[in-house]
Amino acid sequence: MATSTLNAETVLALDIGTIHTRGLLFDVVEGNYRLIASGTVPSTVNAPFFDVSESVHQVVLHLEEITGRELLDRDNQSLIIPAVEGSGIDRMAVTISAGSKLNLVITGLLPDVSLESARRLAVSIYGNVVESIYLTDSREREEQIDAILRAKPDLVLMAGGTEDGATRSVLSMVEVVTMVCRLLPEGKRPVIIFAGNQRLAERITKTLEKLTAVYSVPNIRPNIDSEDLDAAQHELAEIIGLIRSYQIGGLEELYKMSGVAIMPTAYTFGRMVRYLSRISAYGKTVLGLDVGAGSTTIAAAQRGKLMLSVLPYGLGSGIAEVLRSGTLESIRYWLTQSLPDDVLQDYFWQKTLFPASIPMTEESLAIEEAFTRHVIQLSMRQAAKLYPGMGTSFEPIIVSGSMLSQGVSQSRALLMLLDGLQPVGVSTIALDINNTLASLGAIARINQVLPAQVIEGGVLLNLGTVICPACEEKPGRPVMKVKLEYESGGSVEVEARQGTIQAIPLKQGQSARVQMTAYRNTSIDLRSGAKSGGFRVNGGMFGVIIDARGRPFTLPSSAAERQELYRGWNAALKKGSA
Amino acid sequence: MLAPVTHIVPLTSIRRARLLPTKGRVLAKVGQRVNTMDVVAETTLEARHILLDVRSSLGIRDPRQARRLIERKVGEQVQEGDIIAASGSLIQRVLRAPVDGQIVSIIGGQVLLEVAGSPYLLRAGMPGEVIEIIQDRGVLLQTSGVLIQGVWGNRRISRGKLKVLARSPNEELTANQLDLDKRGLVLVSGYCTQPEALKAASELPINGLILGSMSSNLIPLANRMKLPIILTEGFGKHPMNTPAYKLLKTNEERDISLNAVLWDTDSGERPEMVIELPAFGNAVAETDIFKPEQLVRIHAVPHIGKTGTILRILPGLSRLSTGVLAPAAEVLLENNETLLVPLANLDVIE
Repeated sequence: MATSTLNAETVLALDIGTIHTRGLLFDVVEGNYRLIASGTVPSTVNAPFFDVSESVHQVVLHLEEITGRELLDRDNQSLIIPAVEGSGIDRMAVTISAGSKLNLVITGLLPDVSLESARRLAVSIYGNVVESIYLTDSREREEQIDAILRAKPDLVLMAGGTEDGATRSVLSMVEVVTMVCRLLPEGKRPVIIFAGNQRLAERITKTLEKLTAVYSVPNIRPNIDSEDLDAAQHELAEIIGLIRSYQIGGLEELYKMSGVAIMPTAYTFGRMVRYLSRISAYGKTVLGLDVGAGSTTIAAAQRGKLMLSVLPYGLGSGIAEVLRSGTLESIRYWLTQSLPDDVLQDYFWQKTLFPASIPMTEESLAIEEAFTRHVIQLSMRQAAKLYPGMGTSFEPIIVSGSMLSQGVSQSRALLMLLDGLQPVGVSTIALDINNTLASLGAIARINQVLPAQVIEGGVLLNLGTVICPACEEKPGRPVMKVKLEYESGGSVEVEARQGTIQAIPLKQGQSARVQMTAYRNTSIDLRSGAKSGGFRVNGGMFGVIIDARGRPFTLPSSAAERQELYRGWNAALKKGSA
Repeated sequence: MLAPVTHIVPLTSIRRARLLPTKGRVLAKVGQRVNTMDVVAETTLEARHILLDVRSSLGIRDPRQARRLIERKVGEQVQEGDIIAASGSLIQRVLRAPVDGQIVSIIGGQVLLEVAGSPYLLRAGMPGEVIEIIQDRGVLLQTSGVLIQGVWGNRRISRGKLKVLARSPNEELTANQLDLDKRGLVLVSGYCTQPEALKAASELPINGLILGSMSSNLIPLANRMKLPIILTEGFGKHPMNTPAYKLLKTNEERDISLNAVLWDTDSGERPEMVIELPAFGNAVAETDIFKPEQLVRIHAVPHIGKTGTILRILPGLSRLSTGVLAPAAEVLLENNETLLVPLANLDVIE
């Protein structure tokens, strides 16, 4: 139900993670929606509470403290809805990333067609694809059944059959899934989501609904050449919210209070990125990156088409998966301290025991920074494999997650992002310092004005505009020239050299015209191969940054040399904030 | 702010559920006294399935006809060679069970035979009394005594007489400390970095190992060992926290049970050590909020295993020496040093 700004003036957004529960309070200030308070408390999803209510209560108390506004009804300890005389809230939106990762089995007909689409749909939620079954699968049917049983699936995602296409082959997959459901006791059977040939939807639902919950969502492969994940992604997100509200204590009450479906944080984050791509003047791919404790979300969108990947790599419980998928060497590559393997390995294993812990020494901060760079790079590679059209050029890049938005200084965060993402071309990089983006995506369902006004109001911190040429010169050789003409008067011209980072001050609120000229062996845009160009730029924390280290760039093998380089690059960035 | 709690308690009431991973048979009875190694429930895991296609075996096209020829029912046990289906034709063709198993499903002329998997035995993991049966899943146990919670375990269970090997919480376990007179004991040491020490412990064998910490590269070896290993602090070369060390020391020679499960934050199950005592203890709180004068333990480098008392909780966010902003407390360590510690790096000892 759409709500106008007239009857939805105070909005509370709750984002429930495994480690933290965040509360964001939005209200109208001088005629526009603004974020007026935010708070973070430890989550109570897991033991010993097994209920989100306590952390929700705590975060609301925190918001009351900040705003001086009464939000809780002291008599029955529930939220005051709707707001009365300056107390309480009008609407509420809840997102969730907490809960154990869902085990997913995907089925499809052809491995590179419907199964691949099923895989892309599956990675839009917090889950692990633990088994896949397809038409040309060489295993005997009983082996497929045993494989699914061993995988202990929470969800079976079935794709296959274009509209008015194959039916028999799809039904043979259904037979396997039916047998699996019959073998499992009630309560242990997976939820079935059918996203294939809609002609079969009713028949499949009738067959399986006697055994388990079955949902039919729009066909993700309506014909062989096209994929349409949007509608299925939305319905899947609602189903996941529903599953979570059965699994996690206190969520159902929140759902009843809000009257709106609880949505996965990653989905609403992606939804906001898609919205930004629709309103983007440049038509370039908008990139959203959310590095969390258990997973990393990459949301890339171009003109409303969303490419959403939720990867199982994170800075807390997601560490184990990162270590499984790579070697310590790939983390050490980014490390600016010389530390033996056993110290590194012990650090990571300790972190799996206490995922919320915070680095107390320069050494541990260096480990976490190196790890974050690796996680971003690994996630980007995986997302690019799933969506080969994603590219490496983005505008803007918006970043959420505690480590990057609050964990380190902003210059260090920017360096981590440049290293992990290695974008090419011109990008504005913004930090979602209060982790608002996912909540705004959830609020958009109940109030379409609020997200736009809050974004417009500057809830994102503009770190600066980075120019990242693709250059292959010898270190120290000039690669391009950048001239900045301030709208307030005056200009600066710099020559970027291979292997360097330079920043030209352009404060927030200022604007300038940038003129770039690339030299031989350098291009500014990989796709067009452009050698020169100009654009208007708004100021950010570190102004206009030229990252002329090349793509990809190579770091020295010595940690001491790397430390020296990063010291220099960090100092160069800070010049942009002078 | 809500605080995570680790129990290191000299006397408390301990109530624990022991549950099978899947439906099974509960063997224990309400009121029964059980010991650590007693099996309280059992089931089978990883059953295998064989799909028998009546149509192709008997050369029949019509699935309804195939269904009629099946001579067995769902749930029926069959032995190798038993007839599953037979054609009624002049020259009779039969489909026989290829192995012993149970018929679990019949769909469209196909018979699914389940072949039993490996048995799974659920042990009590601590001494106590069965106070409740959880139908088809397990039991609820209760006892009183010493309770010490760890942070990592190698998924083994055992019990034995407690012997504190380390003269201080920071002493390393070495192979040459493990002579024959340690056989059958549960040993306590500061930390372990040498695979030889673990191998020697396994060869003796001892009945269990309680360490402050262990090198993470020993995890694969520890996971292969039959004896339980519990870490109280985590990975690396870190001492055991003093309250746990002292409590173990004062209970030397007593019988201790080790339930070295992995710490499961979803269910809240943690590796635990229990010493049953002939006295009644009160249950301890599972949750708390951070406040001054609380006994806390640090679980992040470089102070893993250090304990101290909260002097004050700082308001808002504090800037740490690394530049990171976080809610923090001033903690007075045992050596009278005062540290600024992020609350995220502390747990309360109760």
